[in-house]
Amino acid sequence: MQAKKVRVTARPASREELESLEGFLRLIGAGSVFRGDLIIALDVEEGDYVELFYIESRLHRLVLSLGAMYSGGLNLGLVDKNNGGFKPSLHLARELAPLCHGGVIKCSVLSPRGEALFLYGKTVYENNIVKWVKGVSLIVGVDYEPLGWGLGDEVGDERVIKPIRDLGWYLRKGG
Amino acid sequence: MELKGIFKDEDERVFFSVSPSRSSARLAERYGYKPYIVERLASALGSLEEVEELLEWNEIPLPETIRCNDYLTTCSRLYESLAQKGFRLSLVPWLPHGIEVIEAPISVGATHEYLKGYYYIQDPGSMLPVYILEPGEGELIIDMAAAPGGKATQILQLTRDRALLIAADISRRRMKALRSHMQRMGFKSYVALRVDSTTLPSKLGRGVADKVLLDAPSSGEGIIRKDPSRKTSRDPKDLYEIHYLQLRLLLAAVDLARDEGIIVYAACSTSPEEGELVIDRLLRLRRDVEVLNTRWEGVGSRGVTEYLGLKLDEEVAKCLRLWPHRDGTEGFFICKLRKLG
Repeated sequence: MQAKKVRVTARPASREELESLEGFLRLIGAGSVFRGDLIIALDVEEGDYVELFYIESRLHRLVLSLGAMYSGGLNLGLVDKNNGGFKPSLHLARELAPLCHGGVIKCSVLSPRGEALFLYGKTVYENNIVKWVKGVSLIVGVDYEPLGWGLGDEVGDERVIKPIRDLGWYLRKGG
Repeated sequence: MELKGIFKDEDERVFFSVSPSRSSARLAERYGYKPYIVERLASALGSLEEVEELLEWNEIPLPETIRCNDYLTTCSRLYESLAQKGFRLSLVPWLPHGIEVIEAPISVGATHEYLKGYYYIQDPGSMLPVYILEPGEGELIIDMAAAPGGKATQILQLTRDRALLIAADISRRRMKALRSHMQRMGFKSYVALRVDSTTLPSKLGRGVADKVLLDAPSSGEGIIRKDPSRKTSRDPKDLYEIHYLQLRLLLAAVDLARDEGIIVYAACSTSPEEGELVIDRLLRLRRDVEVLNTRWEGVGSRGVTEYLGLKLDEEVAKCLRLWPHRDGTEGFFICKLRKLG
């Protein structure tokens, strides 16, 4: 039996997709840092997600003229087609990490031991957290190098950070 | 354009129906090669003694090397941080970003430094084509066989992510790796296209690129130190198909380059059919391209101009060959070309 050919389209991001991204950026305090007209949506037919990429203008024009690409530019993350939720990428974490300096955006800081735990996809407990932020935040080490995205939560009296996506993903799934 | 059948039948027989001598066959048996490979090496190197030296070198596994990503860190900081973790390292003197891993307490691909994008695991010869390409900021560069991304990430590293890179490849699995490496190493100035690269001129237009890199699919005869199965995994018929694929891709590369644009052709092979012969035939088919002197301080030999009793275009001597026994690397062929206006 022949496998069905899946159609993948590269197109300008829709208003709803841009709002989903903007909503996430507001949540972490980043505001509007990307030009909406340079954002491409990679839409996999019958897929659950649309992937958003921020692409430099000359390459952006090329992609739209071809109507296709495999990836490119800054991978911002995924928009869930069912509920409109946004899942940030590791690439976005690297891009925004400089904004952790001076507290421009919401970032949590881990100790070297916490960093190791986080990169193994483990929950990090208070004794390995240097700075804790409630809810979703960008996770960095003490050198402010990005480690991924995490969720600041409270378990009983203790503050913890649970990984949403950590750099260890590159090893586990990255290809 | 169909290329098979353009060149003389007798030449095709010389290159792709090699009959090994008894001494080549004996040597091949001793080292576990198909005899046709040894016979061709003897012709390229000029003596069976040197072939034996090469075959001995091919028994020594290629040490692991990494390319430090000085877009995100400095090479000295990376060196120190890996050394602190118990890695024994040595700088590769002829490569600006090359570090040889002599001893590793854990897998080189599993360190935090790797996950943070501070390096790429890449063989030394494989780093050379991009240095020879000399990518510049603002240039439109096409990498025609880009996945899994070693050279594509290197192009963006050398241009501080300021070139415009079109990274094309046909393999879905390897493209996944390219995308992951681009993100891990912090690069954004690229678009990856999963496509048969011979079709790129019709998709992107002719003369669009300032520079084109083609590290062509090959027989892998140059990486026997890494993959000994290559001693026997290919037949002359495969070599014939690979040669014509390389030639078709290189013709597309010339079409993609603008006038005065630069093309670097490379193949990780010791086989002249995948190196000098590809360039020789390109020069016979196209008058709008010239061979530039391809040299790198510290390593490399000239291209082979006489092979299997036939004379190739003298211009191919300007190309560069890495030989495992002469350079301590994998076998590689690199040739820099310029498109003429």
